[in-house]
Amino acid sequence: MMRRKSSKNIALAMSMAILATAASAGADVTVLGGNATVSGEVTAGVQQKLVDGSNEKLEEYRDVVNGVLLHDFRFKADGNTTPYYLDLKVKNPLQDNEYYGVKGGVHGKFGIGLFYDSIPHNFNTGTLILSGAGTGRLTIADQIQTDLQALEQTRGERGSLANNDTTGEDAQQQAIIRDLLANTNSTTFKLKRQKTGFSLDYNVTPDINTWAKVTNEKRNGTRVLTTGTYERYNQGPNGLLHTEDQFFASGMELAEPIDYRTTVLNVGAGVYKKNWLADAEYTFTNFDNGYQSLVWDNPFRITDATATNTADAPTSNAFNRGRFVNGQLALAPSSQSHDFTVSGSVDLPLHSKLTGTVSYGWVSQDDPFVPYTLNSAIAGVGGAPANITDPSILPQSSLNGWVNTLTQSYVLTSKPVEPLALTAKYRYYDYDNQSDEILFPGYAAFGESYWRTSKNDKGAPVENEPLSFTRQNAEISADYHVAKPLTVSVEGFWEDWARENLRIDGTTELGIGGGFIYKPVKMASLKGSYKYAHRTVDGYKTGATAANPEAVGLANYDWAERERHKADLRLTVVPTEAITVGVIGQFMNDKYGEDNRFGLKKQESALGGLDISYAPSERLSFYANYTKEYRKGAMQSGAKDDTFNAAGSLDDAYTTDNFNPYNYWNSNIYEKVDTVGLGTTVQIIPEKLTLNTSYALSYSKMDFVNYNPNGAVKLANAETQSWPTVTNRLQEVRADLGYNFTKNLKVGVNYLYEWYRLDDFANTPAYMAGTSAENSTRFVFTGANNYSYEAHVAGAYLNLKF
Amino acid sequence: MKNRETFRRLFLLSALTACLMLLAAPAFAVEAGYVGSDKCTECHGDLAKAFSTNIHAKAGAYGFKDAGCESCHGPAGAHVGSGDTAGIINPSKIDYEAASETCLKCHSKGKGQMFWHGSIHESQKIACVICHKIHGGNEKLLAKKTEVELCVSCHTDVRADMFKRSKHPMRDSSSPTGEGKMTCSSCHNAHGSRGEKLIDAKSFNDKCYECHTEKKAPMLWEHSPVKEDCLTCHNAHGSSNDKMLVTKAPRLCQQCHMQGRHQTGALGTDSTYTFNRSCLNCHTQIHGSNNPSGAVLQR
Repeated sequence: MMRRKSSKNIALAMSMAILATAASAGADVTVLGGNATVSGEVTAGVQQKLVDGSNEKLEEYRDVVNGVLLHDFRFKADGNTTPYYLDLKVKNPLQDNEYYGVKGGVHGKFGIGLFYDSIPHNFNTGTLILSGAGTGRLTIADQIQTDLQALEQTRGERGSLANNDTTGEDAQQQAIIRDLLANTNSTTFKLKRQKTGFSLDYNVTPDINTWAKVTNEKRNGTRVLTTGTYERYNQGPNGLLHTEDQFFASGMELAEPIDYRTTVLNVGAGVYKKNWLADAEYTFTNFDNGYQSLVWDNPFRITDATATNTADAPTSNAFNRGRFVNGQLALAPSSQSHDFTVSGSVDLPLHSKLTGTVSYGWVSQDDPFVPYTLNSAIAGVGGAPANITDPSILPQSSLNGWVNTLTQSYVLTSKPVEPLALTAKYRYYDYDNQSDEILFPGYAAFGESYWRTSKNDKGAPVENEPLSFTRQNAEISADYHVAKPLTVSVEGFWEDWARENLRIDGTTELGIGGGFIYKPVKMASLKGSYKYAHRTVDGYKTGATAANPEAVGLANYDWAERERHKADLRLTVVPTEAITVGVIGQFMNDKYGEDNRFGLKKQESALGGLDISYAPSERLSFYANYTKEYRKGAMQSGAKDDTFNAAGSLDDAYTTDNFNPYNYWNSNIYEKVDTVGLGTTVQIIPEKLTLNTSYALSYSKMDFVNYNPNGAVKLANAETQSWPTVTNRLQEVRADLGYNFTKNLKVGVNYLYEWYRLDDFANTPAYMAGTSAENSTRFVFTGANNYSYEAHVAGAYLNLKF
Repeated sequence: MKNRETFRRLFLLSALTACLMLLAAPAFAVEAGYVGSDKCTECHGDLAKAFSTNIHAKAGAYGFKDAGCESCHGPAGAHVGSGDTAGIINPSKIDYEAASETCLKCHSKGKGQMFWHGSIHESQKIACVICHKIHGGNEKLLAKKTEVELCVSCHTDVRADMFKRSKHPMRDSSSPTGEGKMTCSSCHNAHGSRGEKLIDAKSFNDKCYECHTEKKAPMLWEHSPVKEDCLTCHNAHGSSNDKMLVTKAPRLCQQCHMQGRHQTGALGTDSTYTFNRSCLNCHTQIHGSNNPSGAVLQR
């Protein structure tokens, strides 16, 4: 396959090179009796890579192939005495990241464009013990299901401890899974976007333009998607009831099939006069998913069963969960959306201009629902419908999903007197979800092994709540040119969210700010700004209720009261034409509701950067840049207890619910990132031999400080543990040595070295049974978690301009 | 006596010169007027030849019939007369507002620049010629080799993001081994937009949905940030976390969710709730579920 691809590349490269050579008496060749000029370039060469580690991460969004390659081809023709033009562009042909585009037309009259673009997205390689990756049905041999089910150790056999292997069946199941993983071929999870587009612009007159664009994008491939459940054993190894919870986790990492097709049509027309502009456009988007659902075989079950109580009787949901033969996931529904937009701009007196846009649209989806479950054993148990696997018994066969959106955006600018500039902005976005509200009698929960009749622990009905919101914001600012080198500005801003069917009614944020631009001399400028904002909350529903089942005192950070300070400073100095120095500093501090008991409490970030470029002569130039980032996030949480244990002498307002202050835990996350860039261009032989080199380093380090703020905990689940530092390091070296035989012919060699290391404790092998805190005998991942690599890519190329 | 005579003669000579200069001023004023592009070509032949394939050389076809060198450089009469560079405008060396005003004479008549006035780049006094090199720039007459390279020369924080663990394919479009399938203008319009942060869409989410269309439609069971603001959980420029998340899971999820016991554990690194996809090991449909049994985004 690889050889065939390479042969095609050779043929393509040769034909393009011949075509280019034939046209290349010199650059910007005049043809057709002087009526047109053609120009372009072609770059072709050979390339060889050597990769140790994850090739998928190296090629996350690119295709680095070995062999003879045509990298780029460009052909432009422009009429000298006529306004015709043609522009053909080819990049990486016959590779996964290929691009072909052509544009042509008559300048000022019409233009036609056509393109095809392919973008790979390679995720990783892992082991999937199920067959059928890339389809909507994943299977495993019945015999494996039979063998594994026969070795099921139930809650009754296991006793009160999740990790008890009283019958030895856990060990036998683990052996089977390990054997399967060892003897299954690896699967690469990846997808590819292939987009084709056509565009037409037609100018009826120089002031009246029309356009039409159509794009069609296919996305095909697979990506990992996990599904699982857990059961809680409320007793630990020391026999202490509940205080040392143990969990039995079971699940499966799957291959989600991706078969999307998105088609977009955009048509519009506009009148663009000197003092006013107006246009209108319509956009239609059709999204089609080839797979409505993913059904997979549960390797551990050959027959359906329900969850049980401690005695393995199907009268409860607490234990023996995940006992379905076939699981079913609903995938993204197909949808359609329409948008009508009208925009305009008009010049007003006092050097003022008003610009606005109004857009109305809707998005709908009506994909048929899948049944509650494919686990027939639940039927009739715990109030579940008798024919539970039949989708026709659902209260409704589809959502009848429908959202109307209305957007408005206006900007008024004015310069009533020379030193003063005023700007006012207003934006409005209404997301009105008109989808049906459906009350379900219950749903298949707990690893699709039991019928649950409330949505949460607080008894909320199983009813969807189509969320709607209206967001408005406005800004007003004034810039005053105090003196020739100094401009100062002040601003005020406001933002309001009104929400429906959420556990908050709305938020309002008010802010002020100021800034300056100081340019004392032509070669230096200093810009600075500072903003302060305060967000207040309206109608956050009380916790531990059906309407808000989260802990009392927990506020989501995107909805919480917030005080924000934000500052920015930027200095640019050009002391001589050869040197440019830039210094940047940014700071942000968010403090979330003092009264909030839990959630994100504080978020800080700071960034400093230095950029220097120096070109002492035409033959030599350097650049260097360095960026230092620092982030700190501080959160507070608490482990949930069955009942409140006495708080003792702790000074805490909350002394009655499931969250005892002794079980509070905090987690501070510190992230530091250093990014370095260095590069030089040297003309070793002036205008003949040029060396380009660059080096980039990115080193991020994330530290976690987990601690219990109130000392000894009452629940083992609350006790914090140290987490190792997560590091992410990338080094990249690029070198290119090119020799110009003529102004238009260049040959060169290039080299790329990339070294990437990711150390993240979360990236585990496919099977963690025996090493995880929970009993994970029946949780099988794919192990698609290896991202580190070291790669060398060397090449030689020929570049011909014509 | 002799000195006085010399002084008198010098004074008369000076007065005569001044009178002659005053008389000649109108003539000089005529010289300082427009001379036409052909005149410029006489000295700047190479520049003119190179400019012939520049889109600006086709301005006439776009309704600017008299466009020429002096449309941007102002009347060249004084420059022609003296050869002095001070006698002609170089837009890259004058006040930003005047420079941009020159460009906007023609470029305000289009959809792309409709929101330029009041945009952040305008208010930060970024002149057109800071980003564009009208004579022989690169694609779109940009002053740098690629669009991304140009933007990150100021937005250094974004440059740092592009080298992180998870990011969009923006890095280095100039090389065969580059990833640059997206550019800054895939999401932003540097010339102003109806959306915030120069986002070229109705909202942040609407921009994300253009490529991630599968997340656009209403779902039976929703996760509010997916519809309100993708940036609640993701940093679109890049992140040290997986999937461009703003914080590492499970902490990201735990900052908003404290309902069941398993959500509220401090958790060690050997926990199924911490490793691999963390919370998403079970709550896999985090962007919403259309499954009647997907109330807690598990299926």
